[in-house]
Amino acid sequence: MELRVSTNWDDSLLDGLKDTCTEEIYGKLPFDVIGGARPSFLLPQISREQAREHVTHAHKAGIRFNYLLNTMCINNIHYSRKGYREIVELLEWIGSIGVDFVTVGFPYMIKLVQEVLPGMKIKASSVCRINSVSRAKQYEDFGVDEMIIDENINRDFDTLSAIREAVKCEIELISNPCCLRDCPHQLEHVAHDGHASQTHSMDNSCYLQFPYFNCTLKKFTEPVEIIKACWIRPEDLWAYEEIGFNKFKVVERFKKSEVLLNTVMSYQKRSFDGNLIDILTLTNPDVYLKPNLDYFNKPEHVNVSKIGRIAGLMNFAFRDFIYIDNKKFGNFIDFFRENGSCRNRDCEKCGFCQRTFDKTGHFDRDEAEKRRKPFEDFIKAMLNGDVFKEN
Amino acid sequence: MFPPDVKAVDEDILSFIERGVDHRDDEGFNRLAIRSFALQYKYIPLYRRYCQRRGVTPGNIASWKDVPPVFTDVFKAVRLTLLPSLTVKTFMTSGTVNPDQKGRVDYDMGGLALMKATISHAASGLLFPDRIKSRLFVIAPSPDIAPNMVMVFGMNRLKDSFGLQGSRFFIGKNGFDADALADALRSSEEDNIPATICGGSFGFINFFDFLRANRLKFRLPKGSRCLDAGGIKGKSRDVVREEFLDYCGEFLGVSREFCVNLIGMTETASQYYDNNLKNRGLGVDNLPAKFIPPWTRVLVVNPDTLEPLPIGETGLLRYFDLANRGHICAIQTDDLGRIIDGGFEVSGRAGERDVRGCSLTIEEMSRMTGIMEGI
Repeated sequence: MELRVSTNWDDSLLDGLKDTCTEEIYGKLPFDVIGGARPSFLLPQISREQAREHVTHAHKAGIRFNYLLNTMCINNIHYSRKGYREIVELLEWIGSIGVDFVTVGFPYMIKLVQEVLPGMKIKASSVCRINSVSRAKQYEDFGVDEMIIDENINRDFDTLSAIREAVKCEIELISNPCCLRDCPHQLEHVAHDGHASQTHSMDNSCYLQFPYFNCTLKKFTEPVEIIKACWIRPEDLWAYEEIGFNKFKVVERFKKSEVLLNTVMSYQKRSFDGNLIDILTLTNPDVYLKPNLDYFNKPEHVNVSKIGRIAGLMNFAFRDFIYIDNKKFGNFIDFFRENGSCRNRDCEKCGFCQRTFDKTGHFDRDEAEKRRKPFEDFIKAMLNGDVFKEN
Repeated sequence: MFPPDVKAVDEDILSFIERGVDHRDDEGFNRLAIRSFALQYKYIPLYRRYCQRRGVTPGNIASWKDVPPVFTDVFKAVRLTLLPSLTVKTFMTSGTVNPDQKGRVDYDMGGLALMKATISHAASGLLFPDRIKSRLFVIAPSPDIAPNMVMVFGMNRLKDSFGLQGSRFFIGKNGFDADALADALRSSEEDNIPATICGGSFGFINFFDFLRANRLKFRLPKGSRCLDAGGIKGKSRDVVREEFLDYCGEFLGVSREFCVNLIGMTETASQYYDNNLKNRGLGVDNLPAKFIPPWTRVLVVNPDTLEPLPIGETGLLRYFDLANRGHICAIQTDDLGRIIDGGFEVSGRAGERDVRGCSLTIEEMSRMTGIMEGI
């Protein structure tokens, strides 16, 4: 088994990872011309020189570095002389600091990296939504060295097996995602995050995260959605190894080092004794790095005093009112191995995830309901324009 | 049609090379060496006769050290090619000693793939162990001008495999364009993108002379490096290595730990790099040695007897290169050197009269060629 772990740019994280089965860390500058799948305000505000030093440190620890270019839209800047030049400049810098891999979000970037950075290893991001044999083969034909499977099919063993058999390149699965299964906001969310981490776009607006507030509201008011999300428990890695997958990605780039290390160790030991929520990405200020709230100081775009409540909205932890006992899942994964894809199943008729939550979870509904209204109000304010109105 | 037995050996050698420079597998190397020798014995009649006269067959030797070597000068007299009808690339020796007499070495498709792999993997491990990409500026003729020069092929491979946009050769039909190289270095400085300058050692000296005459100096960005191939003696004015390294610092701003020398020759597919950059990555502070890649071996032999010398003694260098599958793996040079910690060092070249075996071998090979042509 090999792990690929998000970096928060803290060198002490590397010291902790070097004796684990971590083969790669990945990350990116908080903002650059391409952007990525996290908004810049959530990421450590590091400089290029700090990034260079961290890459060197990773190599010394025997860990390769993967720079993320994992956005799905770059605002067509690549069709302009200036934009093209800026992208090439970024790629040249990436090459010049010894990056081993880049992760890209769409085919143009594969071809451009091949053109500008000969020999650079390329990984297709999960935002490429590789979820079928046909798409996997097309990305392989583009020449990627590795691909990350759309996490929405993490429990679709038939499709996973078929993809594994169809392509020769390395394949990575995201082990601890917590997006809503088949989330209707997902494409929009990734696109928004991309623009909110692009030098040319991030200040054209104030990114208020409509998708995040909607999906978070749904997850804490209907916690069965957490069970439906497509994470892979450390105890269930074997089921994937059995069909030829042994590379797993541990997210999240804005978590504290000790939290990331605990998650890595859970996967390394293939066992986690505690609240499943703690190894997923679900709001918890105690485990997240402090966001760069200065980003929201954009009076030209929004009413700053009205959006000040964002910090308050984020200031809660799922774990305070939802507990999911990871040791009570039993043979959970067998259901998916034996019953095929959920794609054609109606959750209400099936009820497996609900039964699982009933067995493993504890939910303080009153506590959750206290959070509902501020979320709904903020979502409403984005829709009725209240957040933009001058006082 | 490409013979299946050759293809099978190529695949295994390629896998061996692709393991990179950080492994040591004596048993695996020896097995492949004997298999390669068996192919050369089978497919190159002249070499077979040569081995038979020494009582050596693939079946009666256990070590690569027992494979009969061929002197580099022999390639000037005879063609030793495994699959001559499948040749896709031929390299000619420079004829340093006698310009009228150049040797030739042929590569078939499989052999060329092995050579390309050695170039990439050796450079990855020894020139770019820190995995940086840079603009690669080559002080050598471009491949369209010198298609049969092995150094040019190698540098072009480096450019294509590791160079950023703007990488290019600086010797064209009108000679060395030092002004253009200076402009390119200036752009590197301005853009803060590292530069890798590579070329023959004497090309660097010409460039340093140009810079001195024009009062130009650069401070190339972090990560920049120099790769000089071969040596200087006899080409331009004599400059000792220390002085060369000082010039790299003075004119380019490249510290000596980022200056790598390599030796290669037309008769061997692989190259031997200084290990200083690799050592730097490992935190090892040794004097640089020429690193022996895992797919090669180096023996130091007595110039009179051609028998191996004890470690540390100076003698003639003999290379065994698995990537030489397409011609002869065991190459006897008239270079003097010795095994040192981390690899070997080259100390000069033996005079012709000092290497009695060499002229005798050429004579023997030439005579055998005549006999075989008669047959």
